[in-house]
Amino acid sequence: MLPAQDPIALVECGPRPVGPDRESVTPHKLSLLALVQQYSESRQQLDAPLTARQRKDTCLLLLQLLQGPELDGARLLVQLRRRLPPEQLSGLCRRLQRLKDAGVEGLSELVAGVKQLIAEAGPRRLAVSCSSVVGFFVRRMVLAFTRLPFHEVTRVYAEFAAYHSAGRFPDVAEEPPPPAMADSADCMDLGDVSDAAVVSIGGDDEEQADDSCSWVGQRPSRRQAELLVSTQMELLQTNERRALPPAQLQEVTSRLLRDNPDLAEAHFLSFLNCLRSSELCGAVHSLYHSFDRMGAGGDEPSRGLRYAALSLASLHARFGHRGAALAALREAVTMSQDSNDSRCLQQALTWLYKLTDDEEARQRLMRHAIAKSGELDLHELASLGVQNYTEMMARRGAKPTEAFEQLAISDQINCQHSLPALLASAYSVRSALCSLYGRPGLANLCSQLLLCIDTSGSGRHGAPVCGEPVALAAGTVARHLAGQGEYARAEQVLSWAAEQFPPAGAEARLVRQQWLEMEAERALLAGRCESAQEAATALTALDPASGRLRRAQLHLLRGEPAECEQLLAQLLAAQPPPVPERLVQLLLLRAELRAASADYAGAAEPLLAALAECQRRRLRGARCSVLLRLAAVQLQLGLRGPAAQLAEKLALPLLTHGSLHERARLYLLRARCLLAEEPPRRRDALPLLEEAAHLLTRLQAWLLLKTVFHLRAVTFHELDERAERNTAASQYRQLMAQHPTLDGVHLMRIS
Amino acid sequence: MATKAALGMELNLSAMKKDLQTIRTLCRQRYLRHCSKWCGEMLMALQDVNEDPQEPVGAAPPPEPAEAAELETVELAHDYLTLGELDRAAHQSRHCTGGRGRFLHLYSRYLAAERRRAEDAPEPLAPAPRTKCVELTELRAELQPLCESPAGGDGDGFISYLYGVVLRRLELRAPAVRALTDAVRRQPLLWQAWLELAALVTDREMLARLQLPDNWMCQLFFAQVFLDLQLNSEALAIYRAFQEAGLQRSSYLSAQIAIGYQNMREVDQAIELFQNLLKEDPCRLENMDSYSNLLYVKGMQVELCSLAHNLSNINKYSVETCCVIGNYYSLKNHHEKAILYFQRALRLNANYLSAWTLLGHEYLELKNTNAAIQCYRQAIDVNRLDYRAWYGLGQMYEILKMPLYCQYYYKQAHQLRPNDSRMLMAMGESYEKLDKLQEAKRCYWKAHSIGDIEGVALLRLAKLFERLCEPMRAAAAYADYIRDSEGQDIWDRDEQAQAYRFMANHFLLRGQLDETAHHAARCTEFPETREEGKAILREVAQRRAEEAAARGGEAAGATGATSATATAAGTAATAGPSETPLGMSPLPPYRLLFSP
Repeated sequence: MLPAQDPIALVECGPRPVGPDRESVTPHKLSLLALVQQYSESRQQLDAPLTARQRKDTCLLLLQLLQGPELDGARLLVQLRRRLPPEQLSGLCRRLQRLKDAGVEGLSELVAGVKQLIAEAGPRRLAVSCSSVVGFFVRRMVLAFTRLPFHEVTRVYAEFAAYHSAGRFPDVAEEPPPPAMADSADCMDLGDVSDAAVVSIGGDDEEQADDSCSWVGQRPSRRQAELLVSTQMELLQTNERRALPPAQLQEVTSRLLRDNPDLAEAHFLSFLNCLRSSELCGAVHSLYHSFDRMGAGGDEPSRGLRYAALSLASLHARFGHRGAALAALREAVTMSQDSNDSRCLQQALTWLYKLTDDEEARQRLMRHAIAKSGELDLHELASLGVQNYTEMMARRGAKPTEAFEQLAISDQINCQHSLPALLASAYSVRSALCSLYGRPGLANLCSQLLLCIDTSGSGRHGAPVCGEPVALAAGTVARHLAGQGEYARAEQVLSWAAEQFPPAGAEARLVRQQWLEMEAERALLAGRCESAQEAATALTALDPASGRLRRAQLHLLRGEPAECEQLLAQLLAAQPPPVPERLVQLLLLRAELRAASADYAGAAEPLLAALAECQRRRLRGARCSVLLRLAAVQLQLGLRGPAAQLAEKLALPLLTHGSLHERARLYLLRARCLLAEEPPRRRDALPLLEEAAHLLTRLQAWLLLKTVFHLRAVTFHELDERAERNTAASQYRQLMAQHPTLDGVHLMRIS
Repeated sequence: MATKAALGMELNLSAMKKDLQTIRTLCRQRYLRHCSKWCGEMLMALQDVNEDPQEPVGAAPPPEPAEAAELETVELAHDYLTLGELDRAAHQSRHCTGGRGRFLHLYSRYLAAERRRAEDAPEPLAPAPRTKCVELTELRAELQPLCESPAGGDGDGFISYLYGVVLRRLELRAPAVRALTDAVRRQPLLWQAWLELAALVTDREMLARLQLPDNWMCQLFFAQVFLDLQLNSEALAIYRAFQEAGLQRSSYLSAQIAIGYQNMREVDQAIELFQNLLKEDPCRLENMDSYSNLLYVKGMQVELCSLAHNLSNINKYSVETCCVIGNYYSLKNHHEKAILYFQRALRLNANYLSAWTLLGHEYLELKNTNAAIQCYRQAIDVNRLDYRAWYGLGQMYEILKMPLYCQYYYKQAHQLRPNDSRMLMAMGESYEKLDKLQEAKRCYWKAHSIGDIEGVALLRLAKLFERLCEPMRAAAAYADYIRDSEGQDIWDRDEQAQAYRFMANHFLLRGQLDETAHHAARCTEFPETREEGKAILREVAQRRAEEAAARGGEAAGATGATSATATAAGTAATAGPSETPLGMSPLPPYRLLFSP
């Protein structure tokens, strides 16, 4: 299965964060000012100078706090405890306590104090350089504070007091030496190790903070809100499981919007959230609201409108409203052309070729899109275009070399510009190509590579890419394992995959679909009609075509040829026409149906059609299956010689790349050929039957196994070896007892 | 009786008077000024009603012992409140346990919080985070145990009302609805609570779900909600029933009826009602913004100017005044000044809905699309039911050449006002731009069926039929259009000329020479089609001559009967389409099963 890639680069389409530039005085910034003051004063103290390492630690901490999001009191305290020398910490706490006790006067004193740090005072060296990061911060804060009218100052003080009491800063007297600090201070040699530990703990802590960022009971500032929104937006697109669950995220968003009604990005986040829950109404409302709000900012006002139309198109495409999507796309294209926005135009073009029906037009659009994206340095779109183009080439029957060569271009772009999401999908495409061209082992390998690759650390929030490609890769691996009869391990892989995605998402549905397909396949092989029926019904909800195919197989198994043929006719006549692999599957099933009704000549016709399709599309794996079936039909028609020749030819490809089932059927076919010779070579056929029985037991394909046992018993009987015959017959009986055949009416499988 | 039919109850005026007097006293004691003012206005209308001599009216229930003990404290707090010393009042009444004292304490705290919030609030027009309302949150925490007692039943209605208001300010809609429902159950005469509740009702289903006490005030509440939900005829029925029952002199009812007329676009009647109101009470500020909107629609510049003058003399810092002045400048095409005044109105009250929409209109006039979009969005945030803002947003995006995108907004507006043809016309036009002609046809037809305001639906429909190559239907639509436009004296000359030209050509093709001649003659009245009309007339004359010659050549003894039947058939054929437009039976406005 090829990945159904969405050209939805929503970060690109999404509104740009534009926030007010006004500097505001917040309690967090006041604490940082106090920290600056504390540090610079203790540097000038001569009696207990700071060590170089302590200085470095403090400066790094300060830098991190200045450039990071605003923390509340408790979180700030955690950071300080980890990274600040104890005497510094107690000094800072004392300062903050004083600030709180002194009221508004304390605030002015603090600001006056830090102002001294950047003031020129004769020959003395400046404590803080005016042009440093800290210097800028201090200057901005002094300016902002000076601008505040008195009632605002009282408000700031009230906020600070609340912040201080909520943060539970320790009383200065009872400050215990923090254990972590004591350790790192003692063993300076282990500095690197402890540093790493601190960093990693810090990382964990931040992650926890992010996870628990329902911001219970507190109102995030504008900057915090922006950070929260951008984090969640990125996570939603790269690794959905790390993002907040839909209901919680919606709640957080609506709270953010209550405080910052003009935060367009939050509306956009709500749009994404609705999209992943497949909630059309909410998505539409949020989308329109988001772009209405966004209009004001930005250097070029109409930019938002273009992306609004584009996002609307993507929304409709997501929900399968092709007509509406195309209409919205036309608007986006018109507007981009009017304002010469080639970036937006390229995005629109990508969607356009996704939505176009006509193969030829699509190919033309794709080529154009790839070339133009390359020129405009839109690497993501170029790489995505190449991958889509590869997929289309493969479907149209390109040579394997050409397809892989094309894919290498995408790899090159991904590598040069480090695009982890596209890297993953390139692996996925490669795996799909391998199975298309009849190399399941290689496909398995590619999928395993994808599962092993580490894409974390590429994004801003370090979450590894975990989306559709991972689900598909897990499916490929599981299918491969199931083909080898390793059902338990296959299930393990799929249940691991299911854990990686939130339960209601598209990826989880994909995993579930693959699991059901595997179940149906297994039940059909074992002749368990009820389980197969259940799986097929569940599958119909996820992928109607696949579900109907399994139902048709089930009808065949139950001996209901009319229903089977009806379903097959529907599937073959479906619009859009089935993809080549599926078409071959359908034709094979039709041949099987006709052979089961003893219409062997009629069975040859769909087989030849399937063979032609395989030749045209270069589906080597499927071709072997078709030939195997053809040989069986030839044998039924009495053409023993050609059948034996064909089986001989198939031996090499099937034994190297075939699944257990195909290999078993090959053995069985060859045994039958030997038995059909004049005179029958019964002795030579027996080991082949033995091998087939062995493989089918591993695969738990009881239905076919019964045929093999039966044939074996008959052969022994004809050889007049009574003891062996009786053993084989008793094996058959045993199998019948363990896995009873369907109430006596089932069709014998031809093979 | 009509009153009973409309209200489902009989109005007992003396009981009503007694109710109003009682609640006025209670409200006065609790400093609920708007409510007591409203009661006073209603009582004015009931001046002539005789009181029931059995029961003394106007007396509040006797105070509880707790209240009697703290009477002095409460009275002092009340006086502080009257003087606007809110915190002082709250402090004074902090230990009160009686109903009135406790309410005054909480209410003054609420008022103080609101005042501080209003003072600290940043500029409403600039993007900025909303200020935090810690005080309101605290107040809520304090009110919660008082109102949500598990026993329910006999709480204080005033406190519940206050709780509901606080919740609504905190934008907790569902709990606010619960609290206010409690309030009106406990104190069914508290009009302010009814009003707050009405502002929270979003649709008819929600209204049906509410469990409300059944009294005359509830009927007024229903009328208010119906007005908000654009169910104007239902609202008017209730108000008229009140008037018939003996409240003709109530200015509140008159104003509400006027607003109903305004919503139904009965502009003249609404203006007349407002003028009467002003005659009665020339210093009235309430609803004057609606009046000015009406004057604006009618283009009555002189009246609007004098109204603005009058209002700015009374109070130039009220939102109504600012809106009226803004409307006046807008009518005079001084859009910058109009924007200034609307902005001033918004500074006075950031939640003043119509100013946001009007500001959006002004920006639209100035082609400042971004600002207009922001304003309309703000209006929708304040009240989702504002169809003008939705429609305005649709227009904005249509101007920006996004016909698909704007449909969403038109649809929202249409949903809110299903019987307004303007949204349908706008939708039809955007469908036409998207080449969805069938949908466009449906929109135009429906717009025509529900009463076309702008008078162009038929014309558009005719043109669409012409484009779809359905000449018969196009002809029928044009014929109707011509009839309507002549009847109503709408004289859009270009369109008329085109209509006549089409009709003339149409009849010429069908060989109906009399009709052709008639329409061609009308064509010659317009400069742009004069030449074509003359050409058609010449052709008609030529054909007639040919016909006469043919007939003369045929037989001299032809009876007049045949020609008589021919003309009869001809008139029948022409009468057919004009009587049943578009070949369909005329539909009643509510059964819009259009099957083209």
